[in-house]
Amino acid sequence: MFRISVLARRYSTKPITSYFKLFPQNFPHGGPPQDSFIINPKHLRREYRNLQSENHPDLNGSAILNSEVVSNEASLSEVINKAYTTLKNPYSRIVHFIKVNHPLHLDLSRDEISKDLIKKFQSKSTQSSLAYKEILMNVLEVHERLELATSEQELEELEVENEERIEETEAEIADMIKYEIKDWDELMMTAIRLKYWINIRNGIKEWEPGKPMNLTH
Amino acid sequence: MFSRSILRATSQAALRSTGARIITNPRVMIPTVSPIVSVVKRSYHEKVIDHYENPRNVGTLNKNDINVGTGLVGAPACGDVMRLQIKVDEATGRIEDVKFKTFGCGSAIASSSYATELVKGKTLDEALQIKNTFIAQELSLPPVKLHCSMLAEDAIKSAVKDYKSKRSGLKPTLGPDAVASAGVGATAAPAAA
Repeated sequence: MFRISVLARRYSTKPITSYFKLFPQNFPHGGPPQDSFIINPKHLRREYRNLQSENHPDLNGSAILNSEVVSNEASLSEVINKAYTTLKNPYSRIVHFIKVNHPLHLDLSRDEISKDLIKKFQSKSTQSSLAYKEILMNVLEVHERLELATSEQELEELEVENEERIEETEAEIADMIKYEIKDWDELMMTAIRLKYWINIRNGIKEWEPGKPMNLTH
Repeated sequence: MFSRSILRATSQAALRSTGARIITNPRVMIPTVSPIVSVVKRSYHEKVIDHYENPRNVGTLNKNDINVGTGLVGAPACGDVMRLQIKVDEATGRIEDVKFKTFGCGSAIASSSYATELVKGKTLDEALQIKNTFIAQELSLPPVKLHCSMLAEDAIKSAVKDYKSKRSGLKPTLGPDAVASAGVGATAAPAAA
């Protein structure tokens, strides 16, 4: 048994397993597109906590909840943690969705993959090239405003604006994956745009007057 | 930018003069206790810290100046953005001034800052030869941070491209300059592609 699982881990060719399936209350149909891409953070957290209390490593005889997702000795508790942090953030959620569902299982969180995509997108037309440049200009402008902000009130305004942008982009993504996905590239470009706004969200969280901007990721 | 350096200077001066940590205003202490510094102490090269704490050539140049090329690039996987501008001396063809602005992690800021020092005084072709692996090596960046230096290389290329396309679009139709600048445009175009 032990030997088999070690081998399975080393030579695993099985398809990438879906984290959505770990949370059947939030994703009763196994995740998007059958379920909505938009989550209810409170509900997801509740289910996560329930799962953790059922599957804590300190508990004896922890229930093996989904053998498809957890096929080796990696602690189920660890997997649940990873799944929860992946799904609660809209960017990592869409990256995970793409990794599971894209015909080539592309991993957008890898720099070279997203850069190739951007290059391809920009070479399509002058318009698309300008469109990406415009995104970068907007992002840079928001970063500059954040850097120059001196009061909590200014910061709040920036935060409200940015949360709106995140929500809008998330809704755009939800719309794009509701039915059969025709244009994966466009979906992935939208995901990249979302990443820039999420990065600004992190910057806002860490903002303090006079503190140099230093983004951690 | 200005007030920030004052903050840091004051907190460091306070530390030096008293030799002890007297925290009157916790926010003033932030630069000395920020996470990057504690990480840096253990595993980063001092050159990185230096460029991160005192980045060179931060700022902007007039993007409408015909001698200025502006590069705007992003690192899509981590969400960092960078703007790098070069000002080219028309007579010598060398980069006479360079300014940058990077919003990213400490390694991205340090490599951008170091890259600006590298390009100053170089011709456009020489600047295009700068590779991120060289920057990473000079700053002794750990392998996981290698991609952060990529932003700087991308930005240099993007700035040179912008400069060249700006110049190639400038074609006087009258006078002796018309012939000369048509020549510049023709040679710049393939390099920019």
